[in-house]
Amino acid sequence: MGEFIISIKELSYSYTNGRQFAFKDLNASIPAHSITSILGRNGAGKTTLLLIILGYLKTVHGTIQYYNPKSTEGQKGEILQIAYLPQVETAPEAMSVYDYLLMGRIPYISPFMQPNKKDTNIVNNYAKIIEIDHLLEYPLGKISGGELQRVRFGRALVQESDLILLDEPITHLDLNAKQTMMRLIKYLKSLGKTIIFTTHDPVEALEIADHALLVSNDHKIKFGKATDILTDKNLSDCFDLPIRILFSGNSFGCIVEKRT
Amino acid sequence: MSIKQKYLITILVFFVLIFIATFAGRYQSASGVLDYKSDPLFKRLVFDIRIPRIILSIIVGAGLAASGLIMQTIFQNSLADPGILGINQAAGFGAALGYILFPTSNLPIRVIAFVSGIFALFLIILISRQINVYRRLSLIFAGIAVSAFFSAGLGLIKYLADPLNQLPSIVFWLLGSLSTTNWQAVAEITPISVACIITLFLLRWRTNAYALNDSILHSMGIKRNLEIYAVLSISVLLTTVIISYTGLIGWVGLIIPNIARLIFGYDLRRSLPSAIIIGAIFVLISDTMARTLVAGEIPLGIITAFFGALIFVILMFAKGNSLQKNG
Amino acid sequence: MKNRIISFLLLAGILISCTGPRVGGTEIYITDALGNEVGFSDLPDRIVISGKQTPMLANFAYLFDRAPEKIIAIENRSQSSNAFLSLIDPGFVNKLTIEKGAGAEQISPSQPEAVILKTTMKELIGDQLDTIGIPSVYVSLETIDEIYRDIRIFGSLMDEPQKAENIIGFYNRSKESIDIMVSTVERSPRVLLLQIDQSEGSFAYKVPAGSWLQTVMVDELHGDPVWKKDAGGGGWMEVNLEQIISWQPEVVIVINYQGKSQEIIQSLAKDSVWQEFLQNNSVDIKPFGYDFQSWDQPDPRWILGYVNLAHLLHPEAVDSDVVIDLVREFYMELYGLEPEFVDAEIIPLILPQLG
Repeated sequence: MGEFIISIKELSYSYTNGRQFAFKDLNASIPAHSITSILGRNGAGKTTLLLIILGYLKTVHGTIQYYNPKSTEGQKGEILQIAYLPQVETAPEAMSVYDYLLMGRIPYISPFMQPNKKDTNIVNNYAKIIEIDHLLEYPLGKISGGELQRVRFGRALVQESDLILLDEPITHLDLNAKQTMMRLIKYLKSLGKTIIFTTHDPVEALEIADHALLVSNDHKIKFGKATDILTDKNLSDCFDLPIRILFSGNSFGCIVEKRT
Repeated sequence: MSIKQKYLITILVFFVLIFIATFAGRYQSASGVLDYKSDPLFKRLVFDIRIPRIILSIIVGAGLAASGLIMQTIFQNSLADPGILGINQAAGFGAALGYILFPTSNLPIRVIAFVSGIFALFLIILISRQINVYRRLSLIFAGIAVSAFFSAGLGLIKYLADPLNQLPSIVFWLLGSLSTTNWQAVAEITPISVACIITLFLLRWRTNAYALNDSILHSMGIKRNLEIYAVLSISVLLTTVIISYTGLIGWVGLIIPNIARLIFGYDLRRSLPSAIIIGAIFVLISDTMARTLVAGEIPLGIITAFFGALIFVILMFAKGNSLQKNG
Repeated sequence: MKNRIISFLLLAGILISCTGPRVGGTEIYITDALGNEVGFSDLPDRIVISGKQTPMLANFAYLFDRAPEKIIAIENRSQSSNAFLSLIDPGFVNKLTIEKGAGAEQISPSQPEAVILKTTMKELIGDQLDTIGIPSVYVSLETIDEIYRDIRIFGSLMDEPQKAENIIGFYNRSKESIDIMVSTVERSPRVLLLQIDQSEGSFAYKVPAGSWLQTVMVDELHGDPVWKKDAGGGGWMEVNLEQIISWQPEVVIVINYQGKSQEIIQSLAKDSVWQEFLQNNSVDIKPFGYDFQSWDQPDPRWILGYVNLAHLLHPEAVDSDVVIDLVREFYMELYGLEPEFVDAEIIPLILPQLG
């Protein structure tokens, strides 16, 4: 089994200081160079878990350790470069796509310095790869929702981080954009990155994820290989609906059977 | 027109105006404009009165515009400037208080003005968080409250000031003026102001980032709140140092950033240097008028208010029209 | 029947005459500076002076001998004025019971029978006093004619009309003799009256309004007030050094209301532009006379300002001794101070200024 990147042990988190837990005693080892999806109903705590992995929220109990897969000195708890795409962003509408992408270079540029040629080239390269280079001069307020999502994605790319966290990146997109986004996430994996994304659609998880964290309302979290975890039974328990997963050769579908 | 061309024109206008301002004034040498040799008094006048005043008006314009632009960018609000947010009034209050308590020394005036400004900033942030309205409005409401608070304080100081000793000085100073400028004033104000302007200039790209979500900046290893407070403090220092000397000069921090963004774009890497120059141009023109139009000194704050309000209305029309065109 | 009618008439007559004074018949009218006819049944014994111009009004009021008895309260506005008036009225300090900026409410506890106010204080204080039934007597004192008229008003109030005429007579005689001395002068020097305030290395300059007493005095004394054509009507006009130079004055007279004119003149001499200006253009710079008050204002000392100005503009025609003599006469005749006192306490204040 390859080196892993995040080791979560006995993780517990509570919204209300110990009285009500979002989840308890989570154990998971997320491997490097893989896609993990956090799946669950709305309000189950997916975003919370993502923010904890980001380090933005502090845990009540338990530990998370991060291992840099590029480190040759064995496994140490080094901080990784993490890129994060929240569900909703407050990026200014007047900012141009190009300038927004350039924001991804912030970790590499100290406060009193300005971006240089290398940064510019990186932005242009990635913009070309994900096919948004025709949008570079436009302000963020003037592009479509799907284009905006790709742009935000581009910013995470430009950040050239090892770990990428995405909060519901696919959920609100139309069918075409969904396909594009899933392709982009797989592209990230091909670059050797580790991706964790949240969703409440089992199909997205099944299509692209290697591993899954299934968050149920009873605060039990199951972690493991996607195909192992995302079974009809587990999904039905989680969503409290009779769910059946269909597989038609190369893609998945999800059926909710009608109660009779 | 390309960005380079726009910059070129702006800088050209700037230098031409400096040239004109040097030769404009109530005193015209009898033997002609360029004749320094036969009129040593004229030469003294140009070097010891006009030039310090030109330098200071440039610094005032550059500083107030830079400060306004930084605040507008950080607060994501094109109406946020030190005047609207009450920082000017706080600086005025602090300086007047300092003047009353320490009439013979200038340093306490600047320090108390700065402390008042920081206190006002703190109040603004605190109040706007509590107000539960549309995000942009809450800042403006907080600004109105803080402005009013410090204006009242200023009124109190005017009332308490001995009418024969200190009040007349305070009242004229409050209207905003560079009329007492000399090389000593330049020496006092310039170092800190220029240091602040340069610092903000270096931070121009970084400041763009604060518009992003806190969580995103966290992922990049940035302590957003800490950095924002630091940058805003530098802005407040710049503003209060200037206001504590010149008195209340408003509108510069409000309209110049909007003009700079309109012409040069949103990115601070372009809008900040241009705001600095355009601000300098604006106050240079205003102050040259203040000392030349009529025999008496017109308070600078009145001229910036007059033209500022005019330009503000024009800007509102322009923005409104463009909003309508683009649907 | 006839007896009853007579008794009834007698009774009625007695009753009516008893109620006479209580119905408030006024016997004395004083016309004040606003043209109001202020009526009193008896001349007031309790007079209060209040408002922004209190020091000036008080200095005029104390020209009269009865002032110490009749004036019971004064607004506390000026240290130097209070210091001077304490010399005349030993109980003066106790009368400073009204705090600065007082309105009708703070004035009424003194139970005044009349309040003397400058005309500009009508809306602020006078009207309020009207509503609580306290009469205001307005004076304006902005020109020489007004000063004469208003001194007569003071005289009526204090019941010293003769003293009022004496004061006016003094002013008239003095002014005439100065005018005669000055009439021989051949040319009008270009004059600039400049109020200067200094704070740590920088100076603020103001010139008086064209219609004010100071400006008029310069005109009457055969001086050419260079700022007059540019002066605003409203009040002191702020100007910068460049404008001062471009007026090309020959004599600059420095006014400062804290008595710091001489200090300021010394500081100016260190300024590079002033040095050039004073030396190369042969400009004379002198302080305007100041003892307890600056002599340039509409104050009883205006006549001292007049003679002082005459001396500054035409030293060959009006000697410094003329000034000193008039100062002595002024304080002795108008304020009743002893000559020894004047020589010991007042003359030393002005000698250095006459330089």
